[in-house]
Amino acid sequence: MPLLQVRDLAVEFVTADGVVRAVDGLSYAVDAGQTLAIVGESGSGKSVSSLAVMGLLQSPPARIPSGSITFAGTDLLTLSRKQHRAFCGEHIGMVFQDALAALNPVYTVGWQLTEALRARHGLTRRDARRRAMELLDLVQVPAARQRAREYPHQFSGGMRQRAMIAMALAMDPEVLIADEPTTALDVTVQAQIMKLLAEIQAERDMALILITHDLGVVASVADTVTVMYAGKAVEQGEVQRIYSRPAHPYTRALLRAIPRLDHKGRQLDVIPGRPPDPLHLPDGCAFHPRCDRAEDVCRAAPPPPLAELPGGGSAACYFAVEVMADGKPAERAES
Amino acid sequence: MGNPPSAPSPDVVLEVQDLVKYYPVKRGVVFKRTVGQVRAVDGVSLALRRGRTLGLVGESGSGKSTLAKVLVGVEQPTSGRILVDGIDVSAMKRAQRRELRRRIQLVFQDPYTALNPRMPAGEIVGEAYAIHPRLVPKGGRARAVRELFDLVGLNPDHVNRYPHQFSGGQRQRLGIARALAVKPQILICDEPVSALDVSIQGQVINLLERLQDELGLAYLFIAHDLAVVRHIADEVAVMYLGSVVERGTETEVYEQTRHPYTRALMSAVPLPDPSMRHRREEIVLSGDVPSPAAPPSGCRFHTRCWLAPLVAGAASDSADVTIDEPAAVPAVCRTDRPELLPQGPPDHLAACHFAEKLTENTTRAEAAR
Amino acid sequence: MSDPSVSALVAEETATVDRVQGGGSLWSNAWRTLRRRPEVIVAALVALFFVVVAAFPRLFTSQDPQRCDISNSGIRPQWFSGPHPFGTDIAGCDLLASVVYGARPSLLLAFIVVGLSVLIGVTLGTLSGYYLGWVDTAISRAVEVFLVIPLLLAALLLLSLFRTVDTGSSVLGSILQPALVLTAFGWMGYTRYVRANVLETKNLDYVVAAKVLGASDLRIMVRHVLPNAIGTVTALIPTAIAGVISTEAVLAFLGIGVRPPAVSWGILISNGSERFTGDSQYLLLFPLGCLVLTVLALVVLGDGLRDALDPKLR
Repeated sequence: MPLLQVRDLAVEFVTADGVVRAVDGLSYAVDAGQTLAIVGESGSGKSVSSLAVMGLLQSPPARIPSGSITFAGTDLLTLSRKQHRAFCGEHIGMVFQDALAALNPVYTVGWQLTEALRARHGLTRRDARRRAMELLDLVQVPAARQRAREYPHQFSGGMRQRAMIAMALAMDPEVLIADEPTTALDVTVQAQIMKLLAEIQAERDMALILITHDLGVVASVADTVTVMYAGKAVEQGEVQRIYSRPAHPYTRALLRAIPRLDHKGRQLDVIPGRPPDPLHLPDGCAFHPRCDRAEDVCRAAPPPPLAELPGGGSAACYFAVEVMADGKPAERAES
Repeated sequence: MGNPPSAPSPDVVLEVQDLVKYYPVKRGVVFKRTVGQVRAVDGVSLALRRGRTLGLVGESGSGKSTLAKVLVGVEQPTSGRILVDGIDVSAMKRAQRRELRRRIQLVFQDPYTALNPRMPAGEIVGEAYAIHPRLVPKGGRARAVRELFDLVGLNPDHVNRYPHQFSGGQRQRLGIARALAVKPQILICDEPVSALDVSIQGQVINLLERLQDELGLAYLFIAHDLAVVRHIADEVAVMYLGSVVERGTETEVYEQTRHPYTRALMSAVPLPDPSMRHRREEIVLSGDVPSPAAPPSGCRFHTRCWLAPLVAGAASDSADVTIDEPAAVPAVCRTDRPELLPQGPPDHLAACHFAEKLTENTTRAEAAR
Repeated sequence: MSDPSVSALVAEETATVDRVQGGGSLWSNAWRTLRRRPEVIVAALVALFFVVVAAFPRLFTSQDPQRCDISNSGIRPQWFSGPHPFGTDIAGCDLLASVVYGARPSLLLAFIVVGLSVLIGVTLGTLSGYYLGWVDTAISRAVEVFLVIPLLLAALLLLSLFRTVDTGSSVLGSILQPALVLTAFGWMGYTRYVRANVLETKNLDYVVAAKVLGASDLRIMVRHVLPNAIGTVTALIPTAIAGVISTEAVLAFLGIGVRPPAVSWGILISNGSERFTGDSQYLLLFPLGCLVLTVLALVVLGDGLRDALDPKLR
């Protein structure tokens, strides 16, 4: 049984102009020591789904009409909000994109870390402080003893992200959710942080859920991938297969759309149009107006549910098998 | 014009010579005294050719955005010259300077702050004609705006919409249309796609390429994303802490890299190909970019350089190098600032004392795998 | 893990919603927000009512407040049963007529003071924030000087000094002096507000874009900086008007407000309070009630307007 399993999760936001279904029937599972990447563009519901797992959605306007989030046998959605938060505090950690907003600006980094450790493990102040230093060392903050006395704004972007990872690790989480952890960082610092996360994960046999739009980062760390579009998972599977033989036209189009460092082509393949308005999703498959494979059935009928593909993985497209057989996304026409 | 054109090639539309921009660091409440300088741009020379794209790559703090501000005239350079079509901008009188500045326009990173939220889209684009009335006669302006909308792929019927009614990608197109309204020769694109979704990035890049072909624009394309820059640029310059450390054609910089910083940057970009995992050279630099207010002595990169210890003899067989001890850096790196010197081809420049070692060392490291 | 980042995430995810459906301009969005708040609608109606009273007093009373008949002195409120619905005061003047005609000097004074203050504040604040340097130093020091002088002390001093200067007996003349003094001490807040907003706005990309296009400073200030810096100031105006109306009452109480024979709510309150301990409480309660009602309405209106116009507070 997987460590964390999300089944058929739906999240809605009640707005003045109607109900927005931000997440619609999302299911995934992660095991200890595994990395799951949730990939999508802004508005795809990838961040909202993780907030639902953490019990961090404000209700109202958010509500969860269906689904289950099971961690080691406990369905988090049956718990009260308070119990849910407490449960996540013990088992599931989260790292945000904006570390400055997630750290309290009026306390030193060391103090925040020490307090978190005392609250979680009931350590004495002295022990908690020692443990805090160990954690800062672990996340490779140089001169930890000195830096612990500084405030979040005195840290650089990369250091802040490390401090936030240390905060999350202070809870000894079994699952770490990282929401765009490196998006705001420079590439060289991004590489440092991703390496750090991978090391810590291996060392602690932690499950990592990486939420990102960066297909490069996904390719370099993920074991399994869930691709989301307009609130729905459109394709899931093992990372090698997704990159070499994508089965959903959206995945394929995304992979073709990114410029690559290792070869130069003059004209980029693009996905026409733009992500749909969540209040007015197109009829049929939400991707059909931008899809190069769409036929009448895609416009008329709702898309098929995620269906098993030959050789593992799943995709929600009538033409998944054909798309998969079409060949590698890298083999595109080059000028 | 009085000034003799000093550009060597008639193709060069914008030339930057030894440009310096320092910001004074001031202390004191009533009597402010200058206690230091932030060396944001520290001696940069570049040339932009008609119809070509120069990619400018660097991390935050490298000075690339300050350079953009100086080029478009929002900031005044501390020293150095900016030549538009061979004419020194700072030597011109006000009116002429304004005319020269008009030829350099800016495309912004954030499509949400780049447009005045209280102006309809048509007015945003058409404001150029109110500022430069001679560009288009009064009666033709509405039509000119609609043509610009069409040119950048927006529906001309949307001239009366407000910015918040457009999506991020459409706003970026609006920003481009506004820049094009004054008929510039040069577009400075400051991270124009990094705030956009992947599926939209390609649309904007393709638009920029099409406009370049149609209008013969020269681009200075500033970005931190090396893959995007490789895609669009003909020539590339890499900046670190206010100066250019490597410059050359796209192929030279990406395939015959001669500066350790460039190499580190490229190895840090994750490839969207899981089969390449652990199969490519990984250089993880330690630490952050030092503050431009107190740049390191000698070579600015020596505090984070992975090549220096290899050269100094403390070689590690792994290419996956991180260094904690700056003591292992050759003395010359700590004392002498390297000059930008030709590396093989005359237009491939790198500022490293050990540029020639780079190829040997890394091939050794790669071979060790 | 504090909440800001969470709400930011949700905001990001739902931003597309706002973007696509949020048609119309800032003002129409503000209107949509206001419509959902019934107390704001009520407040607007009350404020509008008093503006109509001030503009067209004849609609509400047929009596002349200046024609007083001492023989009718001290009639208690008759409501709809007699010629003096609110009663008469000690000199036999009709109280309803006094309250109705008193609205005009009170409101006019408030509008003039706030209008002039905003004009000065917006001009100086914009110049100060846009140019910085010595312009800013000069304006900021001036603001501080005026801020440290207590308003009532200065008003008392100035108005009693120039008490003897004749400014005519029109409505405008009777409120001229207090208007000037209150304006002189009323512009600083707007200056600071506008300056802070201009500082924030002037470095936004679209302002830089206008500079790059070659726009003049004047154009940048008028077209780009001001419209986006002035929103929060607009929302301050109702509250400020309420403030001036009450201050006028205080000045009248001190005997240095609007000049008799013109009546204002302040003068009526001042007169009424002298007789409050007797059996003529109504002399105080009617003008005071109008004052409180107007001020409350304007404060609620200002509050609603601020919420509707300031996207940061949403």
